[in-house]
Amino acid sequence: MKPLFQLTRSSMIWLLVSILLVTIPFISILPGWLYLLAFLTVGWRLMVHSGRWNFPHWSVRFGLLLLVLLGLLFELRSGSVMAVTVGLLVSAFLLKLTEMYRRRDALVVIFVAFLLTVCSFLFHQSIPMALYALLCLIVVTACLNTVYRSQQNSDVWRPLKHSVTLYMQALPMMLVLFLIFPRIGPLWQVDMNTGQSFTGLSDSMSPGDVSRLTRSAEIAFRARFDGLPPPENQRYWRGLTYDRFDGRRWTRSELKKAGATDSELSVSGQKYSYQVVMEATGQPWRYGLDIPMDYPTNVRRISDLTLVGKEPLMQRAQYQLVSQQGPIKEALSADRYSEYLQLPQQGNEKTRQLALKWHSENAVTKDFSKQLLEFFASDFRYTLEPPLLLSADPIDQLLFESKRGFCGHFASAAVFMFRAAGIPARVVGGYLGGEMNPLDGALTVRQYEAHAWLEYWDRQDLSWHRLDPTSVVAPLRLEQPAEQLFRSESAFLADALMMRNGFLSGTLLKQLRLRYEAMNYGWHRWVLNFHQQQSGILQQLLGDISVLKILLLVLVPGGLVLSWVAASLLFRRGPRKNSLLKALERLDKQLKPAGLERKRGETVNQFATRLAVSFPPLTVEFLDLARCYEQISYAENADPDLTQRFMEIIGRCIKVNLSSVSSGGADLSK
Amino acid sequence: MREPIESAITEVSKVLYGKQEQIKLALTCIFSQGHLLIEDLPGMGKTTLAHALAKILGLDYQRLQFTSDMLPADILGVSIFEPTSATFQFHPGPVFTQLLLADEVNRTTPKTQSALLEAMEESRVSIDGQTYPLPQPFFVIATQNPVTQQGTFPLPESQLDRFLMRIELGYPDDKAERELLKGGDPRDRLKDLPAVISDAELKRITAACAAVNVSDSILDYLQRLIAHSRQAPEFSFGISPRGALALLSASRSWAYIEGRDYVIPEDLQQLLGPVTGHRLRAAEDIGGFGANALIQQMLSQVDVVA
Repeated sequence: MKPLFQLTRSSMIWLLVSILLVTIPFISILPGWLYLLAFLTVGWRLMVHSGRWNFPHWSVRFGLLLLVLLGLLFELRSGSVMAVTVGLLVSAFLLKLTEMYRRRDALVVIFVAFLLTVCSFLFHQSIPMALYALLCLIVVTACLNTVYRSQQNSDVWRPLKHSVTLYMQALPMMLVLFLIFPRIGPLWQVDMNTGQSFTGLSDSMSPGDVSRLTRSAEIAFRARFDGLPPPENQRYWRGLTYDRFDGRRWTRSELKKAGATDSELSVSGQKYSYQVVMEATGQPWRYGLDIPMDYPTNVRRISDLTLVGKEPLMQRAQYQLVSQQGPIKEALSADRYSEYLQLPQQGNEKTRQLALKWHSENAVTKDFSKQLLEFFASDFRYTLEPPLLLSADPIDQLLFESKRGFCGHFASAAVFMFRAAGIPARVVGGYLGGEMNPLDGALTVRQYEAHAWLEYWDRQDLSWHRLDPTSVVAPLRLEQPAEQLFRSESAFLADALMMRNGFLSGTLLKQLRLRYEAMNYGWHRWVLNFHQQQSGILQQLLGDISVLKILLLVLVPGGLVLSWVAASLLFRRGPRKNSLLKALERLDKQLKPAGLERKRGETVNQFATRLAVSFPPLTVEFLDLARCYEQISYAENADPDLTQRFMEIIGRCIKVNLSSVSSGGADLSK
Repeated sequence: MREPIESAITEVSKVLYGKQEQIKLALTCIFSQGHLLIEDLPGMGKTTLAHALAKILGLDYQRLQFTSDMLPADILGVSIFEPTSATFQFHPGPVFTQLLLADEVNRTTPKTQSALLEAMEESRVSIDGQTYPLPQPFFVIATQNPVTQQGTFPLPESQLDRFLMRIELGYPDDKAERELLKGGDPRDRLKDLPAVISDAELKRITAACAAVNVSDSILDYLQRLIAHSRQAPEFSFGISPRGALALLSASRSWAYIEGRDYVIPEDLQQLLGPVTGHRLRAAEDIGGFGANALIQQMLSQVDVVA
């Protein structure tokens, strides 16, 4: 029996390092008990390796497998399909360790490690992740290298050196493939909702919601302007508008959800052209500066100026926009006019009365808004932690009692007043501000810069006007980065303490952070979304581009090379056979049915003698055959005619043999 | 078969009945200028064969019985102080001869065995810083008892390798045995054996043997055999280059004796056992009994023509 395959010490080390590295990216996704399994299987394998334990009995392995499957099924009820699928792969990977008897098994583990490395890109695609994946690949390849090394105690580091060299050599190829390999859309779509929750605006808003976003320093999107960006107090990034109010929450009316078409409108302000890289939100809408005028074809602008994509944004996306700022001239239809006046039947009576009073005092809408701003400017305070508005009339409570709130509160209250006064208005949710990264000129907008303001429709000039009550309550909010304004408030960036404590805003660290963000932005633009530039490059190379063309370009030469290699492997033979041998083989073929073919280790002489005994009538021919062969193959200066003769005899033998074999052995028995 | 060789075989057969094959192998060895090791049980006619060969070749020969208390000087010779000339005078030992019969070579200690080494390989003897050439031609025909016998010191591989061939005699067949039993002790007839092959004749035959043609097909086959012996797991080590050369040279002589001027695969097959049997070792052969059985197996596994 062959001895069991024993992993060498360095293989074992590298395998363990690989397992560790490869599974780390899944820590946040996989259920915790899988790590228990990892400890168990890795530990067991180590004990086997050191010779203290045996491999687990099949019943133990089977039991483990059942437990894992049950556990994963259980996870399926709470977690997402993707996480469970990856969990299945990881657990199979770990369980395989307990039955790694042969080199083949070790290879399975290693190849699954490669697969897992690729899988980690399903969840993270940042630069560190890419570098990390490269590290994983190098280590796993080193491990693969050790499995094929027979030396028991060779240098532990050498496989790593080999592997690094290998990757260095492969790098140019990788770049070439990156540049020319076509990005073909997936054949089927996997629900990538991995159970992770997105931070950002949602399609309903209660006044306190916006302040919740300030707990997070996550990036909402980045934008880079082709020219100068708008001044800081004009960086209003529109997310979506809310037009329906139920007394507590603002929602979007069903009319808009159904997809009302764009209406005629015109804006007379400065134009900004810019590029946005937006993080995944899990929602269909896209962010853009105030009023998007030009937008890509896969996005449409609905009547309330919200940009809506065809599908929820599940991955980081990049798009180009042109926006304008200023009053929006739009002829409001009667339907929509009343839509923007919707209010609950009752409640907040004090506010309604105040609004009506102001309305009677100010015939001009502009004056009404002026009065409103003055009111807010009086003694309201801007805070992230306003008292809870729990009374039946929350707006009354805000405006006349607590007088403290966040942008959402003020915007919501102001729209209420406009509508109460019969002026169409809507709440706009989005972001205000953005941090300019001097390194690449990109604005980074984070979740804590979420903001809410309002737009009202002025019947005098038939235009929507932007109004931001926050700008009078807390004028600094428009001037300063949000992080400086809110630093003293404990709720600010509660989920990102490092950022909040100024850890990342110190000068040096801030520089580093900015540099990293600039790099990340470039990464998204140039690497992750490369297919946009790629199609340009390929277009220059190939002319009009099609996936089929690229496939042909890659597959046809590749296929030719591969089939050549396959053919040369398949038809590889030893030294070229001479004609004598071929003739002998023909004879063999005839003799095979009778079991008389030439044996290994039998010389032609012995063969011929044996045949002479089996076929006495042909004795002369066979002996002559052997003599000819001997002369041709072994003697010096053989007569060239002998070859001719040899062939003749073979031909004769074959013919005669056929009949003598087929005649039922009558000749043989003589 | 060639004339003087045939008569040589006939003559030797007069004292060693029914062993034509072994006699031919012994002659092959001598024509290839190699040393011969005859291994068999006591009383099988080893010494008789060695004696008969010396006689028919007309060579000057010495017989040396190896014993366990023998010293190198007993083989090579010794320098003795001459009082008359007040110098050391070298007295050559029995090794200074054309044909040395080393009887029961494995009865002596390794030290004494190794004294033969230089003589066999280089055809010369070095004593006290002086090198003395041995007469030409120089052959060693050694006999030994199987290692299973008591009181033997197995020859080390390095020394075994210096013998071109190792042959075994085996029991005579019924007919030969009857003849032997009827005819009286054949050793009495040894002294009457004529020298069939003269010194000059031997030189001519040796040269002719070396000129026997070896075609590429034969070399292919030889290399396949070598490769197989090196790769097959049943051997602990394969045929060495020296072994391969020995096989080739012996095959030439065999072909010459058979009356051909070219080597055929049968020659290699015939000689593979005698030439490589003592050089190869089976993987599971701890005692060093050689690999004769495996060699037959090897022959059936290697393609002659491919």
